[in-house]
Parts: sequence; structure tokens; C-alpha cells
Amino acid sequence: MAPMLQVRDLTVRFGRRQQLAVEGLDLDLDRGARVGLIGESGSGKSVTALAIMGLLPENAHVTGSIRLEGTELVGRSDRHLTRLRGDALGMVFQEPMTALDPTMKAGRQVAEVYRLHGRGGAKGHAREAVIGELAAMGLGEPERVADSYPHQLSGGQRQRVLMAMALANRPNLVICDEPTTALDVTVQARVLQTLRRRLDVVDDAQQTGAACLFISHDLAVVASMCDHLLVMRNGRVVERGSLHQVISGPRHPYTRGLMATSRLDLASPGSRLPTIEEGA
Amino acid sequence: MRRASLVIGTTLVALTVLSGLLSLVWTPFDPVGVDPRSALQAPSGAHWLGTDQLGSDVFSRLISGAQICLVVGLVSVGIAAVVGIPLGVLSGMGPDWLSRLVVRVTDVLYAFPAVLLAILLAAVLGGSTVTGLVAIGVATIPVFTRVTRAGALQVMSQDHITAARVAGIGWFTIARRHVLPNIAPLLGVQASVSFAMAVLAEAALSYLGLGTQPPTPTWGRMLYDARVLLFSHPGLALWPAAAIAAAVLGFNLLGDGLRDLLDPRLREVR
Amino acid sequence: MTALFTASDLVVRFGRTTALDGVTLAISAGDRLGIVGESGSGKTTLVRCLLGLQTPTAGALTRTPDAQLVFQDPRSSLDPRMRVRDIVAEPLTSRRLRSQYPRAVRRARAAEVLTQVGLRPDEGDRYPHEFSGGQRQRIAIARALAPRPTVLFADEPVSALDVSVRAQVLNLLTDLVDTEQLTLVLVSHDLAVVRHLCERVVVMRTGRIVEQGPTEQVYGHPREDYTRELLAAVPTLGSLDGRGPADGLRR
Repeated sequence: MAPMLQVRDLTVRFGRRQQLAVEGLDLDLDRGARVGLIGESGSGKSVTALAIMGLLPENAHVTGSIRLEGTELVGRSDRHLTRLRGDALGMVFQEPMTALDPTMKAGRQVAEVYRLHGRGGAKGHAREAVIGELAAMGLGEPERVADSYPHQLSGGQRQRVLMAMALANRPNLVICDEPTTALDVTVQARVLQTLRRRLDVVDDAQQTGAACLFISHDLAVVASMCDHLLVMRNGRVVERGSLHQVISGPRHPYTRGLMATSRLDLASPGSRLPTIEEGA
Repeated sequence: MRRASLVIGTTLVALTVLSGLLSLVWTPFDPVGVDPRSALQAPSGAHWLGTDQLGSDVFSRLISGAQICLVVGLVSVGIAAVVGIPLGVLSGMGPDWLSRLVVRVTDVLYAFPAVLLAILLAAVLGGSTVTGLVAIGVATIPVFTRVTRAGALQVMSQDHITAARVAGIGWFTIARRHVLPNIAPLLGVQASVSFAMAVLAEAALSYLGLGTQPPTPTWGRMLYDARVLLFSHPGLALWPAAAIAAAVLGFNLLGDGLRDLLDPRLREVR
Repeated sequence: MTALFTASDLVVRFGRTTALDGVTLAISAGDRLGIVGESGSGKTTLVRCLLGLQTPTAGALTRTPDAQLVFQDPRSSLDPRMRVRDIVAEPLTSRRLRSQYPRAVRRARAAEVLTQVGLRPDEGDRYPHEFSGGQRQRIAIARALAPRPTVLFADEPVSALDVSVRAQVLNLLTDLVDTEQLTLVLVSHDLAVVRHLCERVVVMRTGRIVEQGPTEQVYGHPREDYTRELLAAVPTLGSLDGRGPADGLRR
């Protein structure tokens, strides 16, 4: 069976000087699969996510193919993509404060996602559904959260509201771009747990839970969420494989270096840490 | 598109400045000279833009008008900067109570448009270039205070200020070394925009007879004189109006262009 | 043991918010202390008090003025309009040190510390935006070292850096603390970083010290529930590669 998301030779350039952000990226995502995209700043991981969602700025030139359930996304009109977004595609961003409208109550923003995709029903029903979603996200007082403005909520609460918005319409594919980087470690643990649980929810229409493309610079976080891993550097994929494969037996020197420097918990205190040499 | 603003703006400003400078050393005719026999002539080889109802050469008066425009712009922006910038820095760097006090005072000053101040001053001291200057200058102080304050607050929130404090650097040195250089571009842009507003204000004041007094040629005064002849000799109003528009537009575009020019340079490489 | 900093029942209030709620702490020469806590724990406020940037609302505090600070954000901690050599030499222009460091001496010292952090002295002519995040953090460290401080505070020194760069900066800090015989106070939410650099740790939560002691002990045998929760929440690769501890940072 063809993978749900099939990316072939994705290349993204920016501006008049055609700066290369992503080069020749291939990616397959099966239904219900969890794939991690790991890389540092400038590796092109966020650009890849934005390209799939069709959210790149005006000055981006995209070549290659992105097929979602067989439909080609590259070159599609924004109107077509808008219909897909929030419906078949969901995205969770890093900065919940900027991704949420500060002038609208949280509950209303979640309801908006429902209504935009025609599942609102009567106004009263939308509110019930919203409270249900927020509760499912593990929020202790869903009514209070729904009636609050973003600035009245904590970082963890805001991120869960964003996740509720991304998952409201049971999309087939959820892309998470550093969703917990801005959160405290204890909050991060809880949010990741909630995310794992929600992704596993099986809808009547689907046989499996939602597929997830999880992007992060934090190896341990990615490892807790994904079965497969892609390592990106300078716009290219340098290594790919199952989680176990990549972590225990990295082949590319960059990946090896990354594994070594990431395992701070293994180093003996005060010792010199292994570093990645330039050009690896 | 952004570069076009800068180019057009600079051209218009240059035109204004050159006119003013030129008129200091040479004009085809005496700008204040009166010659009733040559009144209301159409543009010709002798009088390039014709003559007004008193027989004065329009072209000479037009380019001379640039002098007042520039002087008023420069001095009033100068006054506003000299008073407004230190106030803004004090407000942005100082303790809470001082900051709030300055904001309140600025708000009060904001309530007085240049024209109102000019009327007050003219009533007391009689209209003149100086009263016009002072009125516009004082009326522009709040803008500079506000912009400086906003910029200073932004800089103060940066860690390099805290680093300087940890190192024991005094407040005055921090202002001089860190705050002012970082808000300088912002202030440059503001100066340009305020210059444009000052030109407009000066035109309004001299139109109302509150600023520079006749016979010194100013564009506002030329407009005033031309209003009775608006339908018979539209050119007399058109030229000063065009001059005012060109100067105001020029300084505004220059400010916009500068703002865009400075922005990308401040952006990080990595 | 010379006590460089002593805080007794330190309280800091901003209006209705209490940032520090009775903190008692002593830092002695040669300590390598880690302060861990999440947002709102008060760790930043505590450091500001210790550096003299914040006056406590109540409580007693003795501090040594000979301390410098390295910040988290390498972008905002360097003045974008100043040359690197001037940034690094700035602490030497303070009232206290001005007489000791006339211009020529300042320049020499700036070149010296730049070399110490692994940069070339001629790179001092450049501006911050010409350097990478990791290099900027080194510049910040050079600036902190210039006045030869006794104590170095580091507030999340590697959190804003890429993983591959973190190791380099951590190595640099390890080396410098050793060669310059610095007392180190490291503030971080990253428990692994604290374990790597500090032999003593203080755990903070909502303005109070919840637990403190030698790092190995606190991490290995946490007494308080919050400490346990914190340690358990840290995601680690654990047993995935067949080596290393299965339960995170505990051994």
C-alpha cells in the first residue's frame, strides 16, 4: 500500500539569491506511523514541515513532489491547501503565544477550527465538543481554559489548546515542530504523554491513529515519541532508519557526533565531552 | 519598491535643498520686488512661472520659499530633538516614577498642535519666523520623547545592558555607549518624518499669517495670496502647493526609505 | 572556607508576586554550585540578588562584588553596535577598574581573553552578528573573564545553543573553571548540564529551596517528591542503545 505521505526530491530555495534551505528530500510516512525529524538550527527541518503544510512565505521556490493520499500538494492553490489544513493536516508550533490569537478566548479559537471545516453544528454543540476536546487534552478545568484568553493561561495550557486545535478534526497527519521546547521539563513530560495518547486514538473511519511527523533538536524527546528517525543537516537527510538503528548504530559521522554529544547523561561529570568536528 | 522610495525621496529633498541654496546667491528677479505694471503675467521667457498680482516673479519667490521651509524644519526638529531625546532617555532608563511623570507631561504637550501653540505665541509676541519655529519645535517634542522612550525601553531589556551593570558601568555611560547608538537609526528616521510635518506646519502657519511675516516669501503665504485668484490664475496657487507637496513627500519617503534600508542590515547573519 | 555569598531568609516581592520566599544559602570559594528549577522557581531572581542587581525586600545578604555573569541568549547579550574587542574590554572601564586598566592594558587583556576562549585576537575587530551562536557565547565568556573575577555566574549558558555546539562551550567552561580557579554558580533547567559541571546542587520551586546537597546524592537519592518528579520528567535515551542508565540521570 502506498504511504499516506510521499515526499520526493523536495527542494526549497529562498529569495532572489536562491538560498538553498532543503535539498532533494525524500520522505515516506505510512498511516499511523511516527517519524522523527531531527536536526539543528539551519538544518531545514522546519522548512520541510512548512513546505508540507504549504505555509512557506512568498519568496520560497518549491520543486519536487509532496503527495498526500495520492494528491499532489506542490503547486496547489492556497484555497485548496486551506481546506486540507486543519482537516487532513494538523500542525503544532513551538511558540504557543504567537500561534494563538491574543484577542480571542481559547475556547472560541478551538471552535473556529471545527466550524471552518463544517463540523460545527449548532453553536451550543460546538462548545460541548470544545470542552470535550480540551478535557481529552488533559486540561484539568476545561471550561475555565475555554473561557480564558491566551495570556491568562500557562505555557503548558496554551500548548494543549494548540494541540486541541490541531487535532480537532482528527487529521490523518499531524506535524509537530518543537512543540515542547519552550516548556518546563515537568510540563513537557505531561504534554508529550497527552500527545502520545491522543495520537493513538482510533477513529471509526480510520484503522489506525494519526500519523505524526515530529520535529525537534532534542534527541531524547524525539525518541520518546517516534519509531523512525531522519537526521537532517544543511538541508539534506544524512541518515534515516528505525529509532533503534539510528541511535545504537549511526552510520554517518555527523549522526555519530550528534549521538555522542547528546548523551550528556553518560559522560562522567567534569570530563571533556566529545565534540562534532566542523565538516563532519 | 523600497529602493524607489529612497531614490524619489532623496531627489525631492535634494531639489528643495538646492532651490534654497541657489536662492541664497541668485534669483532671476528680486523675490520681494514689486512691479504693478507686470502683474499677473503668464509664464514667459523672462518670468518662467509668470508673475503674481503684485508683479513679483513667481519662480524667484518659489525657490526663495525653500529657505524658510528648510530653516524652520531644521531648527524646529532641532529643538524637538534637543529636548525630546534626553527626556525620552531619562524616561526609558530611569526609575518608574520618573518614567510615568515624563509620559504624563508628554501627553499634555501632545494635546497642543503646532497651530494652537503658534496662535498663543503670536498673540503674546506677535507672529514671526521665530515664534513659528518655537511653536512647531515645542509641538514636536512629544513625538521625539515617545519614540526615544520606546527605543530606550527596548534596548534596556537586552542582556548586554545587564552585563554592563554587572560590570559596574554607570548609568550615564550605559546611555552614551549602549542606548544612544542603538536608537540612533530610529531617531534619524523620526527626524526625517518630523521634518516633513514641520514643513507642512510652517506652510499652515504662514498661510494663517502666524509665522513668517510678509514680504518674506513662504509657500504658505503664496498660497494665501493666491486664493482670491484661484479660478482666474490657478497657477499662482498650484506652484506653491506643488512645492509644499514635493517637500513633504520627499522627507516622508526619505524617512521610509531610511527605515527600510536600516532594517535588513540589523538582521543577524546566523 | 571563605564564604563569598551568604543569604539568610531572603525575600523578594514585586507588588503582589513573591519571587523569593525565604531563601537561605551559602556559597564558598571553590564551590561549583548548580541552581535548578523551572520557570517561576525564583532562580533568576536569586542570581540577580547575589549580583547586586536586585534589592531584597527582606532578609540578609552578604555578597562579593567580584562576580561576573554569562547570559543565556547570545544574541541580546552582546551590543550589536560595538566591536567585539570593545565588548570584551567593557568591564575594565568601570569606575573600580579604570585606573588599573588604561587603554593599552585593556587592549592587551581583551586579546588575551579572546585567545583563552578559542578565538583569534584579530577577530576582535568584527561585530557580533558576524559570529555564530556558539562563538558569541564564547565572546560573552571572554567578557566575563576579562576583569579576572573570583566568581562566575552562568544563567542557562548553553540552552540557546545547538546540541553540537553545547559540548564545545561546556568543555570551555570546564577548562576555565579549572585553570582560572573560579567559583562557579550555574543556573539551569537542564539537569544533565548541572550534573556535568557542579558538585553541589540546589533545587528551587516557587521561590523556595526544596532540596540541596552534593549532586550525585540529590540525583541518586532525592528526598523530596518534587525533586523526584523533576528527575523523572527528564527525557533520556536510556536503554535504547543498550548502554548507559535506563532510568535517566540516576545511577
